[in-house]
Amino acid sequence: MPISTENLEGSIGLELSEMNAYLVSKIDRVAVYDAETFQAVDEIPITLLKADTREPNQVIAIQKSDDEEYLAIISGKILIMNEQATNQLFVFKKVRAQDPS
Amino acid sequence: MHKRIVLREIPEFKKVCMNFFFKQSPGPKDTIIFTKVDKIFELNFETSELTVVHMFEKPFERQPLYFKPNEDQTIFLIASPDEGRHLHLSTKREIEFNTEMQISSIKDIIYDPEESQFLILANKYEEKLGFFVVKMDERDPAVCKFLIKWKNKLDIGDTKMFVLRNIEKGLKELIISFKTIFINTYNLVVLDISVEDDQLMIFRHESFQLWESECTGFLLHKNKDFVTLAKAGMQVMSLGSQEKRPLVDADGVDRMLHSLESQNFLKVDRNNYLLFECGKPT
Repeated sequence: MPISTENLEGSIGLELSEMNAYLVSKIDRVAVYDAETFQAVDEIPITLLKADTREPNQVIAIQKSDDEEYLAIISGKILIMNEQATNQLFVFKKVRAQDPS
Repeated sequence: MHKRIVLREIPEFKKVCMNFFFKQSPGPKDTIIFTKVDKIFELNFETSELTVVHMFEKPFERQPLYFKPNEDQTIFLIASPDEGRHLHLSTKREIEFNTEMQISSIKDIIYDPEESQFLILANKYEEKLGFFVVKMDERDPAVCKFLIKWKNKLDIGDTKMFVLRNIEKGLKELIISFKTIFINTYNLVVLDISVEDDQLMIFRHESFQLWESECTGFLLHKNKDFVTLAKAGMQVMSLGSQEKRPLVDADGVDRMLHSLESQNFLKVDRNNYLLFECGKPT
C-alpha cells in the first residue's frame, strides 16, 4: 500500500523499535515516522557542506546504538560502484521530554 | 545534536565502509567502530580520538561495503563485493571465507544472535549469476551451509536481509529483498527457517522496479511490516499474522492493509508458496 508519493530514491530507512518509529533520510534531513500510522511526526535537519564536485552531498548512512540512546548520521557523497565519500558525522542523543505534570 | 565532526578533514576517513556500529561498553557509548580498505579503527566522538583496532594482513582491493560484528563484537565479517574476510579479533586470524564457499559479488551480511551465525547473500556461486544465501558459524567459516542456490542468471542489487521471529508461534523467517536487472522487478522473498534442514519458501512478492533507479527496504519488527523506499514513494507490506488493519494511504484515503499471510488458505500443501505479482503498487 502506498503511504507516500514523495520521491525517496536513494533514501535510507532505519527502525527505532524503542520509540515505535522509523527514520527516513531525505537528502538534507531525516524524517521520523510513526511505525503504527506511518505518519511523519518529526524531522532532524542535517546541515550539509557545499559540494565541490558534481556529486551532491546527502545523508549516506544512519546507525543507532544497541540501546537506541544514540544515533549517528553520516553525510557525504555516493560515488560510482556504490562507494561513498564521507563528509560529516552527526551524533544525536535521545533526550526524554519533561513530564508536564 | 550531541556532536558534529567534519570527517572530510580526517585522512583516516577516506574510503571508509558505511556499515559501522557503536562499540559495546558498560560505560558511556562514546565510540564508533569503522572499517576501511586496510584496517578497523575506532573513533571516540567525544574526544575525536582515533584508535587502530586491527590492521589487515592484506588490504582490500576495493572499499569494503559490509561490516558486521557478532554479538560481543569479537568476531567480524568484512566484505567488499569481491572479497570477504572473517576476523577473530583475539587471535587476529583472518580467513577469506568467500573463496572457500566459491561465492563472490557479496550483496549483504547479517548476524543472527540466536544461532550465533552469519547469513551472507551473494550474487555469484561458482562464477554463475544467481541468488545464493549461506549461513556460516560465527567461529568457524568452514562450518557453512547454503540455504538457497538459485541460478537465475540475473544481477541483483539494493539487497537487504532480515530475520523475523515470532516467539509465541515458534516461527523464524528470513526476509530477503532485492531488485533484478533486465526483468526490472523488486522482490521480497520470505523463507521459513525455523526447522533446521527444512527451509521453505512461504511468499514471494514481485513488483516493478527499474534497475537504474535506487530503492531500499527495511523491516518494522513490531507489526512485521516491510517498508520500501523508491522513486515512486514509500510502500508498506504487512508480513505479520494480523489479518488486516486500517491505514490512511498517500492520498488520505482510508484503506485496509491485508497481510500476505492472510492468503495462506490458498495453499493446498505445506510445500506450496504464494507468489504475489504487482505491476504497479496500488
